[in-house]
Amino acid sequence: MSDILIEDLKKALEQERAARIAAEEKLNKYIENSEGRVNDLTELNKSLQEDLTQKESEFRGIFENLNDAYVLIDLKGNVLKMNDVATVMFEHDYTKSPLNLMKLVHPNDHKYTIEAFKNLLKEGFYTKYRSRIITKNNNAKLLEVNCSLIKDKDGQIIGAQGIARDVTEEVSLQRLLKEQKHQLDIILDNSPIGIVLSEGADDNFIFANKSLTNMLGYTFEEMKTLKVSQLTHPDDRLRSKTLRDKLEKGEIKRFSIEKRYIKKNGDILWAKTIVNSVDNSDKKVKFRVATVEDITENKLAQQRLLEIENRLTSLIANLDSAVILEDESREVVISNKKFCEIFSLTGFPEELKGKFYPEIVDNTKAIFEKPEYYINRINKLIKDKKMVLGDELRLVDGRILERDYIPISKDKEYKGHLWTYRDVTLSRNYRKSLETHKKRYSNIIANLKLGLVELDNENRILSANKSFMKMTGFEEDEILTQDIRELFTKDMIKNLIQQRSVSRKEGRTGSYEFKFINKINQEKVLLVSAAPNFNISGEIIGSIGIILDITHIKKLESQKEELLKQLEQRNIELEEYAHVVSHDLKSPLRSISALTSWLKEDYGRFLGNGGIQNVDMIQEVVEKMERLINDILNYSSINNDESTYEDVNTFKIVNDISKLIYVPKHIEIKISEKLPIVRANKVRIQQLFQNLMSNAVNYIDKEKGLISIDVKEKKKSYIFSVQDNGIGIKKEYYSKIFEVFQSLGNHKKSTGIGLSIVKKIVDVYNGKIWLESQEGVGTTFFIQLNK
Amino acid sequence: MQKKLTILLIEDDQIEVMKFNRILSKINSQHKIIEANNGEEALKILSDKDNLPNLILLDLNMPKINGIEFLKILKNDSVLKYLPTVILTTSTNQKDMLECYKIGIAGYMVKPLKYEDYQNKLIKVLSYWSANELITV
Repeated sequence: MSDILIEDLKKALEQERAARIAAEEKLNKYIENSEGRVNDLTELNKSLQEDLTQKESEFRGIFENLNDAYVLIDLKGNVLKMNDVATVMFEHDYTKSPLNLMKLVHPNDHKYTIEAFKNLLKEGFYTKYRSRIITKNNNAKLLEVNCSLIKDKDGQIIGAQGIARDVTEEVSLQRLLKEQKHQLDIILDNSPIGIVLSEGADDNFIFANKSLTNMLGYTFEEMKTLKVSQLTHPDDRLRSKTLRDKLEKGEIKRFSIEKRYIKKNGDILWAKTIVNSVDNSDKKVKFRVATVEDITENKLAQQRLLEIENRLTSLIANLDSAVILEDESREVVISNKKFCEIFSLTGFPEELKGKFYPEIVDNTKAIFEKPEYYINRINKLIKDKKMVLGDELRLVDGRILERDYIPISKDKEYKGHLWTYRDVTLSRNYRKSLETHKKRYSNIIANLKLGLVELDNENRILSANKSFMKMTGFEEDEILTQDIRELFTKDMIKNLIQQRSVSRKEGRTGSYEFKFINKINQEKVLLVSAAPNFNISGEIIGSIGIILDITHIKKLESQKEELLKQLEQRNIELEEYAHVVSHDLKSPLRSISALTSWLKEDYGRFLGNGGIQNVDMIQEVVEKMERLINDILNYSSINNDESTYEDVNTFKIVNDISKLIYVPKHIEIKISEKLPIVRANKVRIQQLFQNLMSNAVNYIDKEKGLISIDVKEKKKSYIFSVQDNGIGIKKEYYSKIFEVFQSLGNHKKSTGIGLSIVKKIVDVYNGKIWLESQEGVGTTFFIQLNK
Repeated sequence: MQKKLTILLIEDDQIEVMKFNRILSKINSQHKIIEANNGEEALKILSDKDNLPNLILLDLNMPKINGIEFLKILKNDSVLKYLPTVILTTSTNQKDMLECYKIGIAGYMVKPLKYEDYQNKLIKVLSYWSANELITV
């Protein structure tokens, strides 16, 4: 609106101005002419007097035909002459009544007018005198007057002539224009949109409004030193440049671009810029007007929206449910990977977009157990357009799907629908197998040999199995919901159960046994283990008791205890007996020994050599008999009495033995210093090594005998070895030698019990004994004793 | 200087008594030997408080009152408990040995089988006790 108005005003003003200039030119021409003529007249004086009237009439004709008002006045301001235009302007016909122009002058302009007049008198002319007049009809007018003095032929000033123009309208137009410009400035400066005007092809800014300078942070002066490309974000420069080039070449008249500017502080300003080229009159691009709108906020919001969209898209894409969204014309809008997976579709979910969904349904129906039902159901759902959740669908391959149908509407207008499919095969099967398991376990529980009873927090029986009934002698309906404490009549039992219940509430388990006479008067010994029973949220809801009938076991246990006691007693008696027997057996031997030595001593000379030899043989046999008795006694008294255990230094013991037993000079005994300290009965360890070492000594047949005693340490045991270079043992005797009274050699000291004692000691310590031997080379015995 | 001791030998086996006496006579011992065939007899002898022996040699395996029972009676007697008692036995039973030391003995001699060994051992025991300072109760 304002554009047009300004344009109109401008045009009017220009026309006015052109007309005025034309008139003034005309007038000046005439003034010049007329002055010349007057001067001529003056010079020609009288001779040309008659021509004057003619000239005057000519002159009159001229000014009467002037477009502007022409007035001739005397020096007092009285109008001598005026043309028709002036008559109209002053609204006064001077031919009818005299007119003094001074009287028309606006009072406020009086002083100025007088000054102007003085100036006129002084200079001879006065241009662009402007003054307001008030006409007879009270119309105020603004006049612009160009005037000059008129002199007579003697050079006396006789008046003044002037051309006046009514500029009232022009001035008001000018004022209006000014006002309009001011308004325009206000609009421009307060516009939220940045406006910039540049001239010529390049970045010659000639105007920028406040919004723009505010946006960019530069002052207009600073802006003038910059180029558009400098203000543009590097990434957007090419795009911007291309469009500006097109504009410059005239290929386009305007363009619009969303681009980033770099502010003075370095921030980025997203803006929508519209550039218009403004043609000047000769059609060359001369001006560019650009509007710049700050869309940073929009851009950020847009980016956020994009992010949210991306997130949603990836969410759908990676959802564990198959998703397919149809629009109202049943075309696929969105789908996901899981959908392709479940329906065994090759290709990407994106490829489904835009496809006609019923076609997909028809192509995939074969995977369902009832394809027709599947299709009919879909059609019905779409017809009803009501949300249906959890439809169960069975697939040919055994899978089970759960389907949701969700119609979508916007502003109450149907926009399509969303299908989601979930593969619930696993959880269904899980539930199924859970049930089978439950059934199986309840069968097991019912038929269990263990009594099982479930109590609530008030000790009331919730359930009990068959074995429980059998043990207690109750019938099931007698005890259900009964307080278990009231079912057991004996005080002791009652107390026991109560006492345990307290600790059960604290979440502890416990087991205890008690004697109990049941309903059908059987005495039972029961082992009860009770544990608190928790619900899913971990609260104690009662307890579970497991009851084992240990009557029989208890009976056996007490029998066993009785037997052990008896056995112990027998053992003691037996040992006593062994000692008594050995004493009683040894006494006659002792007597024989004494008597034979007296025989030899007292009657030796009568017996002769043969007799003495026989007496010596009796002595030897007696000695052997005594050793036998001692060995048997030893063998029978080996037992595992842990109270006699001590730390036994085997190195020391073996060393002592090597000094104690008789070792012929040709036999060397090597004892490893590694022999350890073991926890055992010292006498037994001594017996063990002494027997092995004596054996080794006895059976060495070599000129140089060697016996070595060594040990190897294992993680949990020691393996001792006693090696000799004796006669060796045949393989078939390897196990026989450990039996009682089995002696291989004919050694005179051998009783056949030594290795039996060794074996028994090793057995008592849960060890092992074995041997390696080569006939004629030697034998090694290995003894493994646990640490 | 060898002291003359009065020794009470409590032994039920006659051959053992013979062995003992033979060894003593062989070494020309001046010790006075009182013989008792069992615990009962020994207690009777010991009831004569004016003629108490200096040393008791006691066999463990005896009928009626056995050696350990006899020892207990002895050690429970306010006077007799001071009599040094040496066990002379064939028993190497650890239990017996422990019991004897517990009740209170002055020695425990195991009689070797061979007569010569026995003789050597016995001579040593007797010479030890004849060198010992003794009290009269």
